[in-house]
Amino acid sequence: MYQVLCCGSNGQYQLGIGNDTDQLELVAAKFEIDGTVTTQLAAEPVEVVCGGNHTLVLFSTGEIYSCGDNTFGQCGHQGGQTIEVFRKIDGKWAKAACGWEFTILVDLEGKVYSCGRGLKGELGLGKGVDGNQLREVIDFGPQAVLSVRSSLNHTVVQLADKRLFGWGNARKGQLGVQNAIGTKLESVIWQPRQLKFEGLDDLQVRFFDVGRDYTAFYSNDYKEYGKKATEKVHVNGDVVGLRTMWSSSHLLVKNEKHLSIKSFGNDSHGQLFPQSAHPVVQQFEIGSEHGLILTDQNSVMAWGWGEHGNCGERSGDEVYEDDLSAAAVTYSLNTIYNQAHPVTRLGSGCATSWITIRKL
Amino acid sequence: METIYDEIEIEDFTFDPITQLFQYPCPCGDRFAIALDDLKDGEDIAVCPSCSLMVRVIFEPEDLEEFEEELK
Repeated sequence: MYQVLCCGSNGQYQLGIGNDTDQLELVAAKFEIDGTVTTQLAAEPVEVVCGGNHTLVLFSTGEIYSCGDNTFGQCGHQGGQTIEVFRKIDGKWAKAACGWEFTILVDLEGKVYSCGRGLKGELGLGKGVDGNQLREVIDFGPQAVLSVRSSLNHTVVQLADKRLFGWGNARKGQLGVQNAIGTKLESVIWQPRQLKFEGLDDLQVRFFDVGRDYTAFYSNDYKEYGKKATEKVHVNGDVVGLRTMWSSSHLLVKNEKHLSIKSFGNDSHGQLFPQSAHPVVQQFEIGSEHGLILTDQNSVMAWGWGEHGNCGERSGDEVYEDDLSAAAVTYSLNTIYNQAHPVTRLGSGCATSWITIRKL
Repeated sequence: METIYDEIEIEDFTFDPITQLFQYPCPCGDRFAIALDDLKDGEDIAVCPSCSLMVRVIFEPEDLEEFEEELK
């Protein structure tokens, strides 16, 4: 049996626990399965994907359950009502990504679908198309889609042949070279198209991720396109992963046998991974402005901006009663889980944290 | 001391002519907001109703003219 534990921001039922109160401590997410609401899951949850105020859980069976804000149908259910506990989306799925008010799904045949709201082309369905329900965006074919990532307003897809496709807000160059429209550059890519990033060889891209208004790549070195303009990044060791918060980037680096995290970008609330700490990292996941690591001791620690309980309750002696300074809402590797059940996956969203455990 | 989380261009905000508010997504799930009148008065800090984060709005006074046109 598995459980999905969560804490953090919950104003739109995005934790799927049946209420809309922020959670400072981990609670088990609830799933409506065959008419019964339960926290015990027979199938293994393999990914938690988070939008602005909605959440999807993808299972090894290809089933996806969703909850949270569904005003625009972004949960993949008929738009309107909030989804208070996780509810199954029809169909079987290979991949999922979520942005602010939209969701992108890829089925087992390589067909891409979208739903929700996309005023800046987020749905990839063309200008002025409303996406209240799931609609097919493009068909890449079986086994063609390697990876799909969405942030606030844009989506990037990497295909098995390493070509990059994307759509959504392009105004800052986050989707690469912009076409000219009259005397101006296009600000939105309304339908999927192959992307070209100046100075980037698609074939060499090993990892990529999307930040709030930029896209980051790691091939032989780190490159980013869009709002941020990080100076050259030097990394000692082998880069084995890349994730972005909304305004900072995080490389998973292998040094000898150990994994560590090298961060750069916005550090207004401790978003950059504390370099004084040396936990043995096994997995990491990155949310909007905080991150999670799983250590070799099966504990999960959070760092960054934790105002909504997404970094857990503060364990140290610091008292910040009625204090809303940056220090009061900033966390530096706070332990949020250290029990015996093995942690299988991490997930991290807009001030939400997710831990999948296998019940012993 | 106030810590500004980030700086956001006014073009990235959504303007609602009815409430006369400029809004932009906050990493907590809610939205930063600032009123057109506040921008006209020279204020440039948009706040989130659900958390302590703040952003600085990047704009020039003449950027506001097109939004005032929308109200006419």
